[in-house]
Amino acid sequence: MVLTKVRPGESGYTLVETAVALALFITVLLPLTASIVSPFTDRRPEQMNAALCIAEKEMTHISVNRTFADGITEVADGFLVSRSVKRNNVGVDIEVTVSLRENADKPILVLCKSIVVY
Amino acid sequence: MVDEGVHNSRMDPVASTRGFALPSILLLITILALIALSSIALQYFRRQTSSVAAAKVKAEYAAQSGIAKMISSVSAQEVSISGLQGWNKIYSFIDGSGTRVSAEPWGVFLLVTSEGRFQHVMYRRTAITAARPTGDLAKALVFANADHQLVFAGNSFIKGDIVVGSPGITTGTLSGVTTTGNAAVEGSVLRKPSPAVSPYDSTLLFSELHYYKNLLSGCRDMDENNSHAIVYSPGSTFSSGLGKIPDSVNMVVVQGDLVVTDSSVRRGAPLSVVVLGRVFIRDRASVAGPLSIISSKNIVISDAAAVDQAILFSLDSVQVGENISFSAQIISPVICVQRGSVGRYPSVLLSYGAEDESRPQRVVLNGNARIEGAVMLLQNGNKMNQEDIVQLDAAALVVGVLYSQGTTTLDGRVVGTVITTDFFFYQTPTKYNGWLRTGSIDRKLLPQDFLMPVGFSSNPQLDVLEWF
Repeated sequence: MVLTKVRPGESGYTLVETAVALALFITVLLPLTASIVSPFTDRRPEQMNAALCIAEKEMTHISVNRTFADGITEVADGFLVSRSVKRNNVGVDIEVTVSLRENADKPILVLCKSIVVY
Repeated sequence: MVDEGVHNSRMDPVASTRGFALPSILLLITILALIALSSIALQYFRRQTSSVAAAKVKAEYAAQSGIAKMISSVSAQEVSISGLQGWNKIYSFIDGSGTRVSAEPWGVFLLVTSEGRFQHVMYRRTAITAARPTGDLAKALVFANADHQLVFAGNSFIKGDIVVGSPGITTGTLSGVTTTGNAAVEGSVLRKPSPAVSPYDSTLLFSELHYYKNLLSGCRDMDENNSHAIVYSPGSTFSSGLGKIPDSVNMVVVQGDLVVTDSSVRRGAPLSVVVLGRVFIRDRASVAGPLSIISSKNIVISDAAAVDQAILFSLDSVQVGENISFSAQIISPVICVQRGSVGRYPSVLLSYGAEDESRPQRVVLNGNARIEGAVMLLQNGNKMNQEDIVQLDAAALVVGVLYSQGTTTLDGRVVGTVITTDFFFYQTPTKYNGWLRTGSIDRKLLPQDFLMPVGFSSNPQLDVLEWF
């Protein structure tokens, strides 16, 4: 039974190959890992959906209850809702802005709606 | 004896002892790259979904806001009702959305279409707008006969403020009619030396009717190869469902009679059906949606048929059978509604005066027919025919406004406002002008948010009557 037969020039992968392989692996692995993980850490879509729900609810509340006053309210999950109302004759322009408390200057969503009030 | 070469190839476990680290890493990287790509795609679609949801809401709000802006412009006198012919305007909003709004007459109301846009999302809203009752429409009666007293006989009464001529009001007795003796007017009585029927701005309405007439004359020579309309050849009777007409077609021409026998529901853009013949809407058939049926001859709605939201226009006459529930604008010189039929809010019966015609105009509500909306008789400016008449039988009811530039026989009941040149009835052998024998008007019962036709003011307070 022949177990091995050493042949000239067949001494396994070389050091250069190993180094290249490792370099490639490390160079590519980090961004790849970041990309793979990002959907599970990116909260922007959820924030946008939540902001949309909050803004729609606020818009309905203002339209139905006729609460035409500017103001800022803090709601659940650290969201800030800011409303601005301008009246022009029978027209009422409502602007609702939703942002995060820790980043109040950068709105996640702005909704505008005009209604008629006699 | 075994050949050595064969032995080597069979028994040696490693044909080549070279390393495979690089291929392995490349394979791994490829797999990881695929996973990463999927992950990025997932992330992209999640973001896209949430932004599209927000964009849809913004586009919808923009579309609704456009209609509100148009209403606001009319109320603020930035544009008058007569200036709305072909009117369109673009509005932009601070959230980056925008809308294009256009208005056109829809019978005695206005059809406003608003196309809201945000990024690539478009949302269209169409609404019928009407006017809030102001001015004379807040009164119970404007009786514009300056020469006659307003005479109450029988159990006739009025609840609300009234305007009459200098002769004022009185009570009278008629043979065969029992007089109760109760106060006839619950409200203020304003006497004017020259009371007049409140003017009705028919600029938009008549331009629309003119357009209908042009369609009727222009479609006579249209052939079946026309690219703008579906044309049914002369002499044919078209009876298939109008609801099957695709949205891309906005006009159907029938060069013969139209018989509607099934449910014809239009859900998309408005459709004009031009009929160079008679129109029959048969038993249990229905016509619904933004449809205008324009006929050169008479229109007959048979018993138990249904019409919803449509406009029915006839150069000749419209006959509404018994026990029909409809919500439509019926426009013709002569309109007759039989007993048991109900024109649900917002319905309109409009008799208009053709310039080249001398026959009397009539709107007749027989038996217990009921109209919720408006009953109107508009004479042509050049023709003042005293035989033009709106007639309500004793059990008939109008909820809304009864406006007659001719005379009115009011034996029935009006919950709302009556504006008329005169009251009239004939009881052998006498003609009675200015008399109410059994009629009543109750303005106080009309709901506050009841909306009326738009022509009673040049800058009416508009509101949305119906969303399409």
